[in-house]
Amino acid sequence: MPESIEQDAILCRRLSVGDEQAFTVLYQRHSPIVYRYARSLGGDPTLADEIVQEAFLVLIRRPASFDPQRGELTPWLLGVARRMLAKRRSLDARALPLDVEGPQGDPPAPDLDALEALTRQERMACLRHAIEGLPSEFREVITLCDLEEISYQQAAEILETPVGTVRSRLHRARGLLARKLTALLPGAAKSLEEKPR
Amino acid sequence: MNHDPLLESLRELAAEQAGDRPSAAVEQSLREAVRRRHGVRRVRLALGGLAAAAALTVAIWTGMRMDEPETALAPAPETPSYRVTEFLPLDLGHPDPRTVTAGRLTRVTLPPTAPSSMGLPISPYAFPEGIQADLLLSEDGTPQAVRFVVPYR
Repeated sequence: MPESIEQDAILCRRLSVGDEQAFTVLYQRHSPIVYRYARSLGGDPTLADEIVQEAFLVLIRRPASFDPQRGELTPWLLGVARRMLAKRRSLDARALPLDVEGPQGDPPAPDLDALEALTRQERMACLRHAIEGLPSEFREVITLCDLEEISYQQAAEILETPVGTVRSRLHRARGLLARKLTALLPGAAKSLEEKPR
Repeated sequence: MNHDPLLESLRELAAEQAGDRPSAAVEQSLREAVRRRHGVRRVRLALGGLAAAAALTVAIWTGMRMDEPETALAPAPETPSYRVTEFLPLDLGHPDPRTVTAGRLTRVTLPPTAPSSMGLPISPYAFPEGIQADLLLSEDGTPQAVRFVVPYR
């Protein structure tokens, strides 16, 4: 068993007998990624705080439900956070089925050269806005694989889908993100019109 | 399709967001939840101990009234037909039972839930008609500790 998993397993056992120090270590180690994931999917810092709280409450109440034999604590916590978000998002109009909004096949090649011409601040603002505009299924795969650099295997565990689905979803998500981003860039319309299809 | 500028920008965004953290209030609230949860557990155990002690006191009182035989402080005679647990202090503000040098031992029957209420992994369903226990009494008759008598099966 990898050392990080073993350490987390020991900390969880200590947490199960009320060791607050163990909780602090676990929280400091894992809460930032859970927060960023929830923030990216939920969009709202207050909601992200609530999701972090709920996910860690599950760990506090049932530390034994994390089985180190089955993987690391981070994907486990992200899976819990995802289920919490899904419950809350069930009424969210943005959670559209993939087939409704997602592009099929290869999207047209966008021209992202204009990205480089922007200041860092402008670039980040455009990117955030474009990510927020993605359907949630695409947003979460971009968040997990590109922003948090989680392995495809772990992403598949969190999303409860096969690894192949993660790969194809990520491919489509990047394509859609690139198109959305291009549309947000100055002169984007012109750039797309001029591009031969 | 060239995604390089996109991936580069995503990496930049990831670096920018790396410092994002939940608010301090979340950690505070969760720390309180840890304390509360285990505080409740301790209170439950203590209450369980008190309940068991109360049951024991009633049992002893009844037992004394019925003139049941008492044994000396020496360990209860063990036969191969049963084993006993460690003595568990009844946590009623009395000294450590291991320091008790005089007193007496009385065997009583306790409710099936008594062991689990004191944190022992003995199912209440294992002894539906009650479980036997040895009660350690100080010289003034105050219950100090209890051990459970578990028959071999």
